[in-house]
Amino acid sequence: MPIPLDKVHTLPAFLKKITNNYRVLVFLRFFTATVGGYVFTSSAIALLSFILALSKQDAVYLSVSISLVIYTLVFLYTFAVKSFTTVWISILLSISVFIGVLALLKGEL
Amino acid sequence: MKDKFLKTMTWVHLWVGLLACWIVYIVFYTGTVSFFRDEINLWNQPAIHNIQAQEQRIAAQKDQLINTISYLSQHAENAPNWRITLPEPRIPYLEFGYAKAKEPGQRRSQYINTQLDPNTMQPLAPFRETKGGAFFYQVHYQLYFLKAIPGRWVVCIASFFMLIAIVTGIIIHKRIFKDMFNFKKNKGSRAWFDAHTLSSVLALPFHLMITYTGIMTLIFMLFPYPAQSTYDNGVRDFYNDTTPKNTLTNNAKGTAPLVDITHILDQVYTKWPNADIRQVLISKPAMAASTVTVLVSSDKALRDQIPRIIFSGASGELIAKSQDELSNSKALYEALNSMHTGRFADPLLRWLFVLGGVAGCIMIASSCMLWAKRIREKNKNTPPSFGLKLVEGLNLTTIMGLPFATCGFFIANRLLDPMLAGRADKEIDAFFAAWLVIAILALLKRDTTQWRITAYLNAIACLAVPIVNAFTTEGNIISYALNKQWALFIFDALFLLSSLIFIIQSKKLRTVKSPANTAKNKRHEVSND
Repeated sequence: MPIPLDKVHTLPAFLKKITNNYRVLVFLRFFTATVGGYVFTSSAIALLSFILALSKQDAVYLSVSISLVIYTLVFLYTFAVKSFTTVWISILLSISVFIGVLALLKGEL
Repeated sequence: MKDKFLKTMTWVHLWVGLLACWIVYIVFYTGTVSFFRDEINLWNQPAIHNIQAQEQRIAAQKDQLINTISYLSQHAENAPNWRITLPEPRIPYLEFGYAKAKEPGQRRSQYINTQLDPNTMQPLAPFRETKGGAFFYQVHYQLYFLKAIPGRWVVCIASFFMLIAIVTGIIIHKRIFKDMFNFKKNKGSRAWFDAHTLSSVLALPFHLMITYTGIMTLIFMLFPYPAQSTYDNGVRDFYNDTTPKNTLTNNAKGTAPLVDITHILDQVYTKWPNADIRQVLISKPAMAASTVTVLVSSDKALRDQIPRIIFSGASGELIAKSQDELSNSKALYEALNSMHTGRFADPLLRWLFVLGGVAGCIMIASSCMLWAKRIREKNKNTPPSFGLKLVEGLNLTTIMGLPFATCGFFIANRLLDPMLAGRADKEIDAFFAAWLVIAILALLKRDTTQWRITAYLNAIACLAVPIVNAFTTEGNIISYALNKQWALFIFDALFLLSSLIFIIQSKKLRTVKSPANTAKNKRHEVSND
């Protein structure tokens, strides 16, 4: 059963030809869901444990305990949203914000 | 729009499920078996079969510790570590020993252990070398032929896909109910579909809990980043921060005699009057920096880290201890982890966990079967593709192969010479050799005949386990019942029951040639042990 995936419209014509192949579309979604979701979750909980107003230990315990909820939601989000462009831009943007804020708070920027 | 969302979720459910199903099946099967880890250890070690249950187990602990420690201080004064493990309700013997000095390149030092009957404090007959329940436990979280860390990653990723499959399964359940009416004509795969839905829905909270908490047990490998962003040295610092350890006398120089152990035990009993001591670890017994760590059973609490107190071995003074009250975050983490291992569970709850595990096995097995059947029905008039043959082959190999391999493991435990060198590894070889037999059968053909042959093989193998046991040890299933050795009795009885189920399966497969009606029989095959 093929998955009803929307085609990508925001790319130059020669790239569209490749990415709008069904297998490539599926691969892109799957890659974004697993790897993108992993990086999203990692950066989100890294930031979370740093900013939580708890002791160091507790912040770590709490953020790892909810990590899988975040990962699952991002995974499903990647497949659920119609436009793939929205998906990858939103995920990439959030990852950069998480990492950026964390680096800023730790004074590494 | 909504329909499209459900279609997408169904697609994710199907493909993510298929991608992970065989690995997850192995994980669920070995995990379910691992709930009986102590019972398997017992069965695999005939030397401890006839130990009488202690009447005053906890009351005897103080004397047991005094005796073993006085023995160790006479015979192994300069060993780097001593370890005394006291009997537990499911582990009937006492084990104590000392570590040999580490040889270069060794990660863990080797222990020289002695096992005692706690009633008489006399040494038991020599143990046979076996991995016992630890083998299934190890396969459960890191598989076998891979190295430890890659193995754990594979299990983690497969389990995460399982989590996704469960959540998408819940999302699409409305569609399932709709399909139930639409697919009425499609009788071939119908029974498999029912088996899948029923086993999923009946034990849904268990499936969700066990999958989530399972990944939680390896969470610091999967997500070390929170520890890295808060601690300078990441997970290592985090562990040091959360585990009680000796910071007072660890730099003390020189030698010092070990303090009288009663002085330490008195402090333990003052703190916990009914303490059920699990284990006592003594490091550098003759040195000024020595420590005595007392680990106490956490009883029914949802705690993963065993409560412990660390004393200075030289002065007997309390150095560090685990927290009595957990903070909310730690309580959450500890609860998630301990729910997975179920160490707190009393027999009834343990059996519920096992039933949940069996339901999980049925859920996964029926879904892989369903997948193959649906594809075959759809492409009735074309020859089967390589993909379909692969799925069918893997189905037969995992579903029928694992019980057969398990029987091979236990039969090897009884038939191999108890004193054979490297015997623990040979038992594991027998496990994989038996599995290979089924894999080769699956490589040849994957039709009903082949399922029937493997069902016969499994029936014979399951029957053989209690029979071989009766001929090679002093006890048998009848004497176990008469002597109230219930753990051993249930072990043998479960194999007889599995054998019966496989016989019924093979009978059904013969009388009903149509593959459609085989579902009902195969539901139970995973209940082996």
